[in-house]
Amino acid sequence: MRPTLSILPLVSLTFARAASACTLCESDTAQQVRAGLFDGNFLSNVALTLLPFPLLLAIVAGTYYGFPTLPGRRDRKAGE
Amino acid sequence: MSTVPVDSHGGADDEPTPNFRPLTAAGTALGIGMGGFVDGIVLHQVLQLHNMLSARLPVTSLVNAKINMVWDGLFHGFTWIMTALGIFLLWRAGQRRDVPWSGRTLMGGMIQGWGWFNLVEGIIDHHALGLHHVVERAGLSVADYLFLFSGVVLILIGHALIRAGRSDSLSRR
Repeated sequence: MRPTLSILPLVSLTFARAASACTLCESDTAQQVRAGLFDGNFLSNVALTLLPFPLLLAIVAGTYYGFPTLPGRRDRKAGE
Repeated sequence: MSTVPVDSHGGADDEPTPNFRPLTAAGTALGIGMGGFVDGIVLHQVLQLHNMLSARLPVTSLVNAKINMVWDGLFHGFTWIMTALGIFLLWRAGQRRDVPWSGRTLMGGMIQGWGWFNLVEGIIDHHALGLHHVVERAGLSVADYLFLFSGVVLILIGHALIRAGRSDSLSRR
């Protein structure tokens, strides 16, 4: 069977009725969840959830490249 | 006799200057990621003490539980990314001749990373923003301060292990 022909049944399954059985698609609960997620606070909730991670990435970067040191401290280290 | 590549730190017969930073950074990233998974798996899912936005959106209904589940998923996505970053950094560190293959350095970095996760996430999410608390039904409680304290203790233990690992040699056997 040619590759394009073998993919066709898979593509057709995507549009079949059974594919819409996800909980986030049709039920009353799903609609309320969507409404609760994508309300006016959506973007701020994304930002708040992800807020610690830039700081944690900065700690990893600081560990890898070295944290900036105060000039006095650097001079003392150089003199050691 | 095999030839040893000349590097910027010395001649062909010299060992390079040991560099512990790549392995420490790999351990730190792994510790942050796995520390996040401990929080997410144990506190969010198994014990169900809190969820990502449970102080703002109390888990009192199926809808609120499912909305919190989505934000928990986003949180877990980024702990996964941190873990993947740690694996990548560990792989890179393993290919470098100047990185001593020290278990104490890696373990110290991981413990330190877990501590940084608890400290940073605790300060920002529990105290500054009040997105959730360790025991949600108790609100801001001693458990939140214990969470911060555990972060400080883990950082200190990790730091001590990393320092101890500085005596480890470059040889890999």
